[in-house]
Amino acid sequence: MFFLFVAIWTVHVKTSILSLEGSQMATSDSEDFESADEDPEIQIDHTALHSTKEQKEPEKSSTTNESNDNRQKKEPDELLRNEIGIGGTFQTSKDPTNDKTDTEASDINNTTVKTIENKAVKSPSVLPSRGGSNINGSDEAVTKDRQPKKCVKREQKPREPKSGGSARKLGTKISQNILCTGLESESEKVKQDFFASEKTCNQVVGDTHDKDERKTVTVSPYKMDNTAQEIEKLTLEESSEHNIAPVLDKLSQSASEKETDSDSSWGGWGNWGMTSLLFTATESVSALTTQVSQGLGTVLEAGIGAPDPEMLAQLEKEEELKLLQEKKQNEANEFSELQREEEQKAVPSGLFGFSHLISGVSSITRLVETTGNKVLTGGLDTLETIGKKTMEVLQEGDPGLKKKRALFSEKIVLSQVLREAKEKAEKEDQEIEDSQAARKAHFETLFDDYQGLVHLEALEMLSKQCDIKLQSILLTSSGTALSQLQQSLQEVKDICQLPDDEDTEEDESDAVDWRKRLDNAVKGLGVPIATEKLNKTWEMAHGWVENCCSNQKSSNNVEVISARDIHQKAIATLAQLTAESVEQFHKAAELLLVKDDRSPTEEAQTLLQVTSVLTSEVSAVATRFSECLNAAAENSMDPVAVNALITSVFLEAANSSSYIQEAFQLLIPVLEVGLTK
Amino acid sequence: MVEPIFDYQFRLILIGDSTVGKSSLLKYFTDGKFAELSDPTVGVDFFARLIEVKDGTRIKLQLWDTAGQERFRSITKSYYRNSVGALLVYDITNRSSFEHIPLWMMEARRQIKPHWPVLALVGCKLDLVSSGRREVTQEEAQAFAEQNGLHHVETSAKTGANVEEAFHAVTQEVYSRIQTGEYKIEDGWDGIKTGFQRPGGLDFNLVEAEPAKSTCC
Repeated sequence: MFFLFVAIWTVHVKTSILSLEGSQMATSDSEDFESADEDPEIQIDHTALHSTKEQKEPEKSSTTNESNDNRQKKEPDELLRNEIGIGGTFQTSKDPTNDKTDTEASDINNTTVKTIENKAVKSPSVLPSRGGSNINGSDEAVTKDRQPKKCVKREQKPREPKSGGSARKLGTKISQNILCTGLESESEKVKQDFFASEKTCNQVVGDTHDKDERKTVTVSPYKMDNTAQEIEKLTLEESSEHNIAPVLDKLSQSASEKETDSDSSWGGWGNWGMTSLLFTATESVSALTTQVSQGLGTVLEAGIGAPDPEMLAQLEKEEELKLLQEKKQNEANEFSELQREEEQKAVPSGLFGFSHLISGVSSITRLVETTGNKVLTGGLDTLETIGKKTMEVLQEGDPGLKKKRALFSEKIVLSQVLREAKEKAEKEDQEIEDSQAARKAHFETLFDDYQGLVHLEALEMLSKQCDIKLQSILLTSSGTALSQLQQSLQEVKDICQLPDDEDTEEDESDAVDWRKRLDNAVKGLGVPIATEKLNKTWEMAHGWVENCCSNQKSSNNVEVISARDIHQKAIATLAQLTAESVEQFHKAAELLLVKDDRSPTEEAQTLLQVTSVLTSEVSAVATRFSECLNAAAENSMDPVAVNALITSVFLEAANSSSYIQEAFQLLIPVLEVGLTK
Repeated sequence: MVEPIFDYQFRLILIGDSTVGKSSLLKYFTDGKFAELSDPTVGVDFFARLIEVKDGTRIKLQLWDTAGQERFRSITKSYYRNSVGALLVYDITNRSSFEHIPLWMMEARRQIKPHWPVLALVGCKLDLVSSGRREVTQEEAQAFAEQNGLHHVETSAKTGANVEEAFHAVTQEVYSRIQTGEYKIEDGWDGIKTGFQRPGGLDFNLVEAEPAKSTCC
């Protein structure tokens, strides 16, 4: 007896130490976890996940290649081995419950965990069973049934990162519980101590539960775990060898009693049905969630072309499973505690059934809650995955989305650019129209079109050649011949000096008068100058202006010619007249050069007269057109613009006159050359 | 009136004996008309027409119609210099006009500066050949042309036969020489001038080119 006491005491002390260690580990775990928490949650990178995985890998005793199931099994396996030490006695005592559970376990994944849980749950029931309560036994069966279902169900639930380390710890706790209850049942004296240890257990459970709620990944220091396990093993071996054997005997006894009792219990089938129904529902829901989220993930990954979706999925699954295990065991622990408390309460109060019912209901509520939570988290996870993937793909080869942002801003500008391009095109069209309109009234262009420019150029060529010829003659001449020549040259030059705008006779000569004057002037030149062209242009211009003016006077607005058209016609007429004048000067020069009998002074006087006639004619035409434009200005809505047009006509008339005078000046060398013949 | 928009202006000169049909040829080429009777040219007359070369470049031809009369020979010589090409015109029905061609050719090569001119041998009055008045055979004209590196064509200003071809051949040759770099636009030489650019034409090309570039990357 004394030996027994000593043994019990030793076990108890060891248990206390273990519980303390457990609580310490729990805290350290949670701390570790919080630091780890930041990484996977905030950093989206694969690398972060990989590193987390690598951190975890040393914890596993088997190869990483093995699936989650393997790992899931492996960790509880150790516990099982520990249990088997005890379980051996169970089996030898031929506990039917235990056997049954084992066979069930072989069918379902996570069997070992279930077994442990069952035992953990079962063990507190030893106390009431000793009290000889029949209902208690049936409850045991209920609890037993519920546990494995929970396990399976949670397995399906979406990930909630946790490490196997905490699971192991929990295993330790469970075994402690077994011991605790075993001890409790053995002696009333130890009961107080047990309560102390139970408190520690609770504390640990609370810690882990807190962790649970935070949904965190726990990376446990596995070394500490290992030592804890070793201690645990030792303890268990000792206790099973020396002390626990009798306790277990009693346990098995009560269990067998319960087994027989449970068949006739009322709560058995009820709870069975409820939980199974619930279980099926939750399982399907969670399975769906998992499948959907995983399916989505796969689709996303496959569709987007993420680096290795399988790795990611596996990682996620591993984490999930670890978490599930931990949680499961947590809950199992909690549950067993809860039950024990209830039982403890129930025994004296005699309301055992009710309390149990409540506990069942609460567990169901919890199930529903967690399932709902899981569904939500699953959905959120899916969304998150989509978001992450999208972001990753978007950022591929484009850090900080700079290019995309630039593209976007460009796109915004693009619409503006298009609008601007359209406006620009319209503006250009307008400009082309304007330039074409301007061209119609552009004197130089029209002058060129009437070949005035090329005639002037040709005349210039002749003038230059004559000048060169003249200079060479002057160089070769000498004496009186030279002085005589120079005198003649000066004479011609003097004749050709144009009066400085002094002959503003403005005799308002009509067409016939002008023609007469021109013909008379040309006659004196002694060369056939074709005045027909000039005369034609002149008549045409006068006719047009008269028609225009009569139209304006007739107050018949329909046929009124616009100021712009009048202006265009005026400029065109001036250009044509000038071009034809220059042409005649050019022809005159050519003819004079081939003329045999020259009289340069006469020619000069005639040409001066011709120039005078031509310039006066040009100004006359300009005046006629201006009158026409003035009349148009009175009718116009924009008299200022029309006035600008009138100014333009006079300006071009002056320009025209200067062209004619320039042509005349080019004739001087041609005339001078005549003196040398 | 000539179309306002063109890329280049070429100055071509028509030389040859009087009454061979230079003015009639030009009148047909620019107006599409033929006058049975026309006054002899005094000194030089001017014609202009816009044509397009093979790649669509628009070229304004400024055509100098010189007087063939001997008395104007000294004057017309002074007009040669600023030309880029010359059409040596003879009368198919007038043997002497063809026999004077080497003289006209020599004159053109001597006077036309600073470049070796594009020359073409153009026979006129092809329409009169049918009445048996041909005095210059196509073969001998062709042989002479080949011998001197000229383009040869027989035309009729009355029927319009080969008139276009005669001017197009010279224009195309001048344009080709511009593209090969033999002819350049020079200040003080009016043989080739750049004309008015098509408004916005260059801008449109750039606008089209830009998006094409951006889409490839």
